[in-house]
Amino acid sequence: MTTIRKATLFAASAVLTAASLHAQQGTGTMIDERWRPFLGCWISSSAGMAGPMVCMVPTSQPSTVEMLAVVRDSIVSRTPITASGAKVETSRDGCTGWESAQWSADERRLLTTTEFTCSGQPLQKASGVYAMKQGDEFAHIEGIRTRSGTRVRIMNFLMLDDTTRIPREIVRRLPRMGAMPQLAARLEAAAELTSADVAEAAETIDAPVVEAWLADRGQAFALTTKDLLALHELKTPESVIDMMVAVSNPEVFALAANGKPAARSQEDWLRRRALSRGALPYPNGAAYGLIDDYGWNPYIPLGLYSGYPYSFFARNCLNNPYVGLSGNFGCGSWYSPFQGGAFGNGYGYGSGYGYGNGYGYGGGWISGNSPIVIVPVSNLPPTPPGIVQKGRGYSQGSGGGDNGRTGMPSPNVNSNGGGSSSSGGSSSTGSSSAGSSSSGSEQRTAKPRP
Amino acid sequence: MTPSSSSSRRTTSCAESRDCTNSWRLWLLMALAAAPLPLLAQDRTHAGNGYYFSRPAVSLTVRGGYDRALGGSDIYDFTTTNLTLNKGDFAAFGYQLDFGIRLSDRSELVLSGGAAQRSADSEFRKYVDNKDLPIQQTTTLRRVPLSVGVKYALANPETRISRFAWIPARIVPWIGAGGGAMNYSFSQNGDFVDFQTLNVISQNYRSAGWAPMGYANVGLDLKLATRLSLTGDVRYTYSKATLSGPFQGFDKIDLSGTAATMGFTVRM
Repeated sequence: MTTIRKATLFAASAVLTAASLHAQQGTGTMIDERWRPFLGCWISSSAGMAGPMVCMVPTSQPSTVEMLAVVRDSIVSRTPITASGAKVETSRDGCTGWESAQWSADERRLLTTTEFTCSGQPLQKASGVYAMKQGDEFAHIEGIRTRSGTRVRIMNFLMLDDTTRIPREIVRRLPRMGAMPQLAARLEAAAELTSADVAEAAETIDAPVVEAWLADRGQAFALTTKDLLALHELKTPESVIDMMVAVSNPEVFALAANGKPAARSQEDWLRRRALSRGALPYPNGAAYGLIDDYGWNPYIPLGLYSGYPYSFFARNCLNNPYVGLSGNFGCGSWYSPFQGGAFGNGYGYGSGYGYGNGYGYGGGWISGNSPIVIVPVSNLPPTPPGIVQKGRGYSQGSGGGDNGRTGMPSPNVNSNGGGSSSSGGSSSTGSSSAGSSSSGSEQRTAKPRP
Repeated sequence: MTPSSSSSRRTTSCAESRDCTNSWRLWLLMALAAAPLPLLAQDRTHAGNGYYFSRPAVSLTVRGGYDRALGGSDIYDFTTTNLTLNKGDFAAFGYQLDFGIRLSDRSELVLSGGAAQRSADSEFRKYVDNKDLPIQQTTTLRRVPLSVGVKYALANPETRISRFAWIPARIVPWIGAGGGAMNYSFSQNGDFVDFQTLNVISQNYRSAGWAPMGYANVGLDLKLATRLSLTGDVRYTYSKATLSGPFQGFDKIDLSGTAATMGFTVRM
């Protein structure tokens, strides 16, 4: 049964694939379905600044598309991208090397690696990812290794649906952007990432690129300890895991000035919380914190070879769903996660927790069933200090003698030692406890137990 | 006939008993102290779904349980010989608060404070008064240890996944030791027989003060939630203090004891 089902699925898949690799009408081009979400013309941007129109058009090779940069009506550059997983030898601007692009396991993202050598220059290694963000937008994050670390840039591509702005030569080669297969493909490619997707990307491309991708995407992960352990076992770089944790907990983390996630400052945390409760006004009518942060963000002017400002944070601050009044990813300052007074008032030991004092311990309370006469304290004779001496036992001490209190013989002595006696209007329990002796003329004395 | 300590000691209901009242007071204090722990544990600013955002830097533990004074000095012998008490009567419910500061992956500096108090009613074993009534009194021992110690985990308390992801271990056994000072109060309040005159006298004999102390302990943390653990602690405390005031000629009072407590720990 299972075999039959598998065979059926395989056959259906083959038919679909064959159908999808059909020639575009009148163009002789073929479409690999995995490229379909990215096909079309897009308005590029970086650092919040618009770039040229970029069109991804199919070629006669299904695995290859051409990336065309269009300025006004002219195609100013053509860059083929072959998503075969193989290293494609190439030369560009006098530099030679190879490029490789492979689809992710779920066929939603394209992972790229390149190596180029230019005369007199050290080997340049780069890696990147093309990933759909939403149904009408995708990002290309690329990082180049330098001696001082990996420099990363993020390019965003917003779908251009107005074909009147696209050169006819290109329109002819493209499927209709609004057509259902195109839309469905884009939505499918924009599906949420799993931690396994991230781990897979981190195996192929440089960690800073993955971090930037995650930060730009801003998707929260429902990370569990199982996910974390799996990432750990797959040797996913810690910095990538950190970014996953950070974007998943935007109320706690923000991006620090070095582009790395960090815990939010206490002030930032309180400010944002107050804002979310409407407790603080928005200065100048602007989104409080956002514009300010945006303004001083040191990342904004950072540029890369493309000429586009590195815009990671600016982009985040403008569009990232995690940035804003309720919350926030990006544009923040940082702090030690343990500052503040988690402990403090109310948890100290000692004060207020003492025993005995002020709890009425022993003072005036007696047990038993007899009537209680409360004797004013001032009427009690002072008790001289006693002593307890080893070998001699208890004694009244140097104050000497008894305290003058005596008890009348009690006619009723109950079995548990309770009883009562009275004299001269005062009474006490027969079982003597602290302060319970009654006054009278007879000295209370001790005798050996019978 | 010499009454046994158990049969002749006044037995009272909880409503009447000072000892019982004190126990309730201790329970109440401990409950109040422990009340914020679940709230702290739910605070999402330090932990994600089953993991910490950073290695916990501090911990707060509230523990309570059985605390038995060993009663190894002559003042106890004197007391238990003359009064219907035995050394077990100085066992108490005790509670303790520990504030831990992380020193390394496995070690923690622990500042502790707590209290254990027990009041036991008694009467003279060999004497009654001239009306054949028992001569009764209450003996109270209170110990308040304040200490600084080190706790060492025998297993890694957390597994580091990344800088912002630390997975707490399910079970962490540990050992510890430390020292500090013990505040104590030993008092006897009620009626006593003046052995010189056989008069019955009402007195309050009390000795209180401070003494150095040391302790060693072993324990176990069992993870209940990301930041909340059930903590068991068994410890031996050594301390001896000079008796002051009315107690003369006695050796130092033994304040040493063993305690088995259980409570909750929150880490942040």
